[in-house]
Amino acid sequence: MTSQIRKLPPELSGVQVEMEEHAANYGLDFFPTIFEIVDVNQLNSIAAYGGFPTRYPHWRFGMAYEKLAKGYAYGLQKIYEMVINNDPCYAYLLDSNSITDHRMVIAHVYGHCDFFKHNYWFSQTNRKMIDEMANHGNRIRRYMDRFGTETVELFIDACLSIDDLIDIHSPFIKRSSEASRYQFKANTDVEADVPAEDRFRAKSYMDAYINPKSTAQDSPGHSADAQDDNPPASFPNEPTRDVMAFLLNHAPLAPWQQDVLSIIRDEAYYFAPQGQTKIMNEGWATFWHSTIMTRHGICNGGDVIDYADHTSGTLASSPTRLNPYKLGLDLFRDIEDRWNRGCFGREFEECDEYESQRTWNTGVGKGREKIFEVRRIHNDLTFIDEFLTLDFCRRHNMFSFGYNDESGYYELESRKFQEIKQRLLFSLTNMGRPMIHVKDGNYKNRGELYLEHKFNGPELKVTYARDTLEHLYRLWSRPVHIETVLEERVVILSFDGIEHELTKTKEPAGEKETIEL
Amino acid sequence: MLRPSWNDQTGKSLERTYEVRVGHARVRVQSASPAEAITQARARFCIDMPRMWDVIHSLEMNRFDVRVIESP
Repeated sequence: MTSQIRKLPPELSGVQVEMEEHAANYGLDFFPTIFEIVDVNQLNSIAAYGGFPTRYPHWRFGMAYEKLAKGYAYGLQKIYEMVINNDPCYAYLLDSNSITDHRMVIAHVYGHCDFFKHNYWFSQTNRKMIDEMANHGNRIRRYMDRFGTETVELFIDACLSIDDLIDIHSPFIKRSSEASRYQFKANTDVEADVPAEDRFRAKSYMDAYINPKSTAQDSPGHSADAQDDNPPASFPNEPTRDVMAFLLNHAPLAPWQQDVLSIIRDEAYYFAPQGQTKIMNEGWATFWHSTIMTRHGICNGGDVIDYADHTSGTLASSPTRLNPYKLGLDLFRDIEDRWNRGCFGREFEECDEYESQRTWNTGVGKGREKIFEVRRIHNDLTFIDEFLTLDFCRRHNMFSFGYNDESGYYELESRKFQEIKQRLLFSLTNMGRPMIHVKDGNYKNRGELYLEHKFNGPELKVTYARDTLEHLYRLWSRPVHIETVLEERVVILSFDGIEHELTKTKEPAGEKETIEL
Repeated sequence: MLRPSWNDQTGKSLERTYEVRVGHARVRVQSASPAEAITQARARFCIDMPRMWDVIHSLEMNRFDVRVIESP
């Protein structure tokens, strides 16, 4: 970046203090938040880096920057702010925003910061990620200096192609010990030949001398004998969803490659809760900026116009795209209203008179308490499942749509509540990504990798699957396969390093016919 | 203090129509006393302006302006 990021000018510092006080008075609780003011080019470049200006270099960040910069230049989009889940939280404000925008954005940021700190799905994220990302950047730059930029970038491309094949629930379930998660030698360029338990601590440049290969092979714990007596069996014992961890532990990678893969994996886990809570997180922040602004943040008539103009843009509904800001905000408001009026529980649910339900009011006033509880424990999937009701669906005229092959248009498919909800839940399950796990790391006893796609409706996009298999081959170095469903038939897509193959099966264990792609 | 809403001797209702105002919002309610009128008005305002529930709920009594519109 060419110019310096600036601290807040005095007039905005005053706004920050004021908004922080309002947010705290409403019960929001956040990490200390550092605001910095940037110009549009800086904000676009920070956004392109996913919010971390010190991140590792990679061509895709340049591509993302170009997209954001062009979108801004053509008036298609504008980023008002960026906020980073870290302790302290960092927030970047756009210097061309009006003072009303700044007030709104600062209030919005405090909503996000509260969510980061208190939502359960963020509880296992690294709160020092700014430092960690800088560390990742240094390590990758060092590998680029040593092994060449193109070599490292190509390897990063391969890692990124599978960066959503992680087990998003694993931070909350101890499936393996911390030690066994990283049995490779991260941050070194020495062959991983000495078992971790036999190693002496050493800097990377001294490692070969302190832990020589011969010592490792002579050591009593060295298990070369196991290879001769027991031919390799199928593994893992159970299908594993964390494909990246599986590759870290079993793929024939050089230590620097293992380190790069572990970096990409760590970052994928860091970003995963943001994907899991997009609707809630934006809804929560919008709920609070709306509450604070409409009660305390508007000073004159001009402010009303600015605020209403920008908020209407943010909350605009599109018939073809879900707006997470609007859905999240409306759901939080609906929950607060229902719990204020006592519209919950058995008595309410069992009431079958529409008018009685509509005017139901026990005056219990538990709305505020309830929305804080919801923000603490839910993610988007459970949020929608629990709180998207038939009544809400009707009031907001929700519908599902799909592409009609015959007419060539996107068309309204259904206004049925169950279908709309099911479709929404599908799109949120596993953050809308396919569920894929490693079924066999020694397929056909030939060291080939066999993945299985847990089919639940949407098919894999074959062009994407083929590219991913090629990248996966680069990591695994042996043929790779994925079992999935295409056109209602179980198929196996394979890549052997030269060509792709699609094997159709009637049943998983049935006869197979092979088609050359 | 509890006040009867019916006159025991005449059998007529003691309820009056009150107009309760707070800010720009106003509502008419039937009640036997100004305090009861405020309670009713508070409940109505909460329903009519669900986003202000917490504010209305915590408003002091003296913030409500109560006026008799119609006596029995």
